[in-house]
Amino acid sequence: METKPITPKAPEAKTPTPEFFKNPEVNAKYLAPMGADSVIHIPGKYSGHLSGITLEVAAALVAMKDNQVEEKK
Amino acid sequence: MSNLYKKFTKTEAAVNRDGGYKPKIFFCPIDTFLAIQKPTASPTALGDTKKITTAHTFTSPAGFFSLYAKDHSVKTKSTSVGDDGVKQIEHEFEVIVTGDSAEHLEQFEAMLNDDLMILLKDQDCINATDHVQYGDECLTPTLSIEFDSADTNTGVKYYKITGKIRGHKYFYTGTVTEKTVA
Repeated sequence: METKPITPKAPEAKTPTPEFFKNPEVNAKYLAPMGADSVIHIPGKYSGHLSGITLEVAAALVAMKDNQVEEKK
Repeated sequence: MSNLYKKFTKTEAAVNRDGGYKPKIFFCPIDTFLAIQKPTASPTALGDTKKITTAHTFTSPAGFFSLYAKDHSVKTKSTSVGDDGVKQIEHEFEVIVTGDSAEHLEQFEAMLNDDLMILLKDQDCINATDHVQYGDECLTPTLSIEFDSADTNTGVKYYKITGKIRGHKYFYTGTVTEKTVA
């Protein structure tokens, strides 16, 4: 029987594109290390896709230690 | 350390007073979290032991699943249980999801015996900024399901999900991340 060599799957890219956020000001300051545009809810502040967050919401996410947003070093 | 207490005035008595919850709940199996947060280990103010202010995190694409509920159907109730001197609070919640299908049945049957964290959002979006969280890493609510087909004259088919947990109710102000593909 012919056996095919198994090529290992490339690990999923976790590095987000530089233009992940719709707001360029957010792009300038923050990264989205998960690379997924999840729907998020922050009661009283924001409800929608991660990519649509404002600077204020990004700062709130960092303060909450949410792993979906990271400040650029 | 003795218990913390404070004076409750008209202001405190008016906080988040309107009844009920948003007709949508979130649930998530405990084993899909990356990190489940807890209240602060060094509480200083009244309420600190019941507040979770840091976001629960997930490894993408995991996240909370939402359940669209029948209007006005999300309700909770808490009662004290136990012997004098060692009383505790038992929390109960109820939600009605309409419709019936193989997906309804499989999902609700699985939920019965899974370890799930439940979040309810207050109906007051302007003043109340919290989700109520039932369950944590150590203990999750026990769920019960009831299905009613109604009849051809009145009513609709629905599943009533009720949950019960002793203690382990928190006010969660972190981000609620929905599962990316659900």
